[in-house]
Amino acid sequence: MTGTLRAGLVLGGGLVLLAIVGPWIAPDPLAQPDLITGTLQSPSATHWFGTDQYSRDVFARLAAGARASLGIAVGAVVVATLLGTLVGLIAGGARGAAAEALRRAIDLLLGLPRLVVLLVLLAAVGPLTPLSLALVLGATGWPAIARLVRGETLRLRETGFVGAARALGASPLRILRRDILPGAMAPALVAATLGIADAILLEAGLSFIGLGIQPPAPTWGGMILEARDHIASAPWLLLAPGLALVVATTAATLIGDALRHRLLPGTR
Amino acid sequence: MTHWLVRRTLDAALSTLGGVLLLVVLVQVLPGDPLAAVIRDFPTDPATLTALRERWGTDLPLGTVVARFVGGALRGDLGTSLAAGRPVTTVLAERLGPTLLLGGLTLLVHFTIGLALGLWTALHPRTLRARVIGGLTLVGYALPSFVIGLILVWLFALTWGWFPPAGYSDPLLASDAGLGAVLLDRVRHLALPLTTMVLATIAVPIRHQRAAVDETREAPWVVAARARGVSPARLAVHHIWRPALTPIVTLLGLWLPMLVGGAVFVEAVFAWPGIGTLIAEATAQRDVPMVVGAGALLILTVQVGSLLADLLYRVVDPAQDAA
Repeated sequence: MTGTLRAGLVLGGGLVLLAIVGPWIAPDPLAQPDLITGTLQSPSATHWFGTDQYSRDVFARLAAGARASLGIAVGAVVVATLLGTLVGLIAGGARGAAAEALRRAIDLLLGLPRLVVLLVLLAAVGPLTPLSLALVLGATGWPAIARLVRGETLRLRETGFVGAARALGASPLRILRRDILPGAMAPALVAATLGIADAILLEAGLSFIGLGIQPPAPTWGGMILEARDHIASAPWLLLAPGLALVVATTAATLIGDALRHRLLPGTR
Repeated sequence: MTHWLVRRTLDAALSTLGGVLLLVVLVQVLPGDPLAAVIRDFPTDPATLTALRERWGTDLPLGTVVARFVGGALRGDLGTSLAAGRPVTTVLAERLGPTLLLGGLTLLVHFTIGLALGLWTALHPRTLRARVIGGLTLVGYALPSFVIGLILVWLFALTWGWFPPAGYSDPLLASDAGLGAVLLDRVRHLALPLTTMVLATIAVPIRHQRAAVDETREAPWVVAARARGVSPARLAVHHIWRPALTPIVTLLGLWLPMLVGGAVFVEAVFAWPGIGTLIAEATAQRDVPMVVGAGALLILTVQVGSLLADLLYRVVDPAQDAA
């Protein structure tokens, strides 16, 4: 196991642990126990990361936010990978006008900035629940994966083992499923892992500009938005979720890079 | 070349149109009232609703809505903002300047300081300074832009008071202030947003330039020039850097979407009155025509940027024409 992979797994594992165990050991992230003297308290033994302007425990909110952020990002990436792999396989396996139309559709969608599509969508339907936000992030993330899978499918289609399968009389569907899919999944998996970082940042950014998960539900982006009025007096409100975001995206990038070296030797 | 340019421009125009059409259709087929920005939570009787729908043309069939939008867009009319009650294009024009200023200066820093740092770290990879630069750019890249922005506000605006924490200009600045005072005010307001944009994105040009220089550093013509006794400085600039600039121009196409995303979040931190804050505000107000209009402008920017990048690449590398 390389150092990159180990570092990524330690960081990512720590956050997953925080997301799973954190909410069990921390107080209620929505409780406002002491609005008179308990607001904006600096980190201490009782409040590991201090309290916010409503006297809520920052560690509890960070842990609950980890659950939301990681859950949404992983859900989005699963949706994007499933959709992208399916469309990419079809686009790479089809021939003639259908293949050309799919290629053009994928290129068209890739030319659209993801954030623009998300904002138009949010303007049309209003604020989303965590589940629908994950679905929407996935629905805007798949074209990149589809292009990778399509390219890999086109390459694998010309290889000897696929030719052999064809000569043995395997149906095109069987060839796509049994011979091409396993190979085409490698770049999709790498892109998906790296895509977790994008999804986390997008969700945090949307929550930061007030368009993601709505308060009082704790998210890292929302915590940063609420911290901005108190940065000078209570910097831990900004630093705790900011650091969590860095750890999460770094972990996803490190694991993705390690996967790339393992699954796609010879690239970069 | 002309043939290629015509085809490529047509391609960009079609992609822009296709992308914007997709947004318009998306709005129509999604659940949610397109007039939510107007109706909000007010109790509205059916007759008023019908009148409103008729006035804004939201009860028309999908084909008619799309045809109307395209017809208007081709004449430079993107509809009327529901929240502002003014033409979308007028509002966009007001907000374009600040975004172009911030994005343009960011690109300028990328193309000067970014490329120079990339060249320098590629030529001196083992020095402490190169490692510090590499580490700092990585941290900048890992931190979300809005976190960088807020940290800068905390330190340089709130703690030390060197720069204003937000805004485009000082509202208390006398209206008859001299050019020097106005310029100084603008620079002071630009300092933190620009630094944020640069810190959040400069890792990309540095890494690309570094990789490109790694390719040319030991090229045969460099070895030959070194053997001829060409001075190290001339070697670095003339023989190593110049050919390594070619692949960099394609970065322009990659950068524009990134600057779009960066602009939305960085402008939000500093209340910068640009397209980024406009599209975020309009989304919060569910002002659909405004969001689609701003989105169309951003899509156009991205397409024009990628067209320019392709064109520049052909200009600096004529071998592409033969292919």
